Amino acid sequence: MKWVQEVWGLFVDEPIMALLAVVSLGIGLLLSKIGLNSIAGLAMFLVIAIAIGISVHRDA
Amino acid sequence: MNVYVIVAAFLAASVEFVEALTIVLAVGTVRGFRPAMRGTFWAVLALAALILILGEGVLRIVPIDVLRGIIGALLLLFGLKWLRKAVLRFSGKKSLHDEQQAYAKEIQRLQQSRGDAFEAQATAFNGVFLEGLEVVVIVLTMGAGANAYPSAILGALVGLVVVVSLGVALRAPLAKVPENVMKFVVGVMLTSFGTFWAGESMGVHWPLAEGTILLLIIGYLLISAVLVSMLKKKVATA
Repeated sequence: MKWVQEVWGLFVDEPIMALLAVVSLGIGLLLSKIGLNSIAGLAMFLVIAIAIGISVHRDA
Repeated sequence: MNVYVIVAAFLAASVEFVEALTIVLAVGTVRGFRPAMRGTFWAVLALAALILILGEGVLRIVPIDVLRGIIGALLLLFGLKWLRKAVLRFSGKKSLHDEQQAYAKEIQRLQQSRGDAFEAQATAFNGVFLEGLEVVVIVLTMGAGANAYPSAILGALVGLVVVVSLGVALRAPLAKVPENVMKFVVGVMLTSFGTFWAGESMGVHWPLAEGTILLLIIGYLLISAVLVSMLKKKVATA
């Protein structure tokens, strides 16, 4: 299972930030599906920006 | 050729190869350059094979739209990891990466262990392979996402040639390379590409088509700069 941990570590070192990034993708998908695809990108960007902010403040 | 992909692959590969070079130089200095170069050769060969097999295989099996979604999500996670570390480093919450220090540590570790030539070769192999693995991820994801494998491979190869040439010429760790700034830039670029491709695969309408990548880069740079400044103030008042 060590290699699974290696691969996981390659992409995730802060689970909350990774989770929020995945949530941002979910929001983008949802908005696109209900026809709001012109604001979906902005929503994704904002959630990702919040994810970075929360993550670095948790470390601070 | 895709300039964004070339630049991102070049910067990311250079940063990783600078770190790999430090390990190879340490092995070469303590145990001789022959096993160090052998380990490096096998690691580069293994990485190239990985790119060839995974790149070709993935592209033939998975449809490009689905691939872009997966690649975008992975690249986003990968880029955010780099960006988070960079913000913490520049705000003083995490120490800046120092190649000279890393070199001294590796030399000390090698001097303390009484290994043979095989151990030296294995150390060089591990160093190059593990650092190179991140380059493989970048080449594969950017190559597949933008359908620009030649650009991604070219960027990484130029990075390899530049770093190896400087390393051979100087025979010292490349401490003057602005590694921390490069990591910041790569983090921003990968996060931007990841956001763009993941969004595109889900049907997001980006206002400037591919030009939106530049907007995303500027956006993430601004956010990071604000966060660095906020954290610096926090550090100063603590």
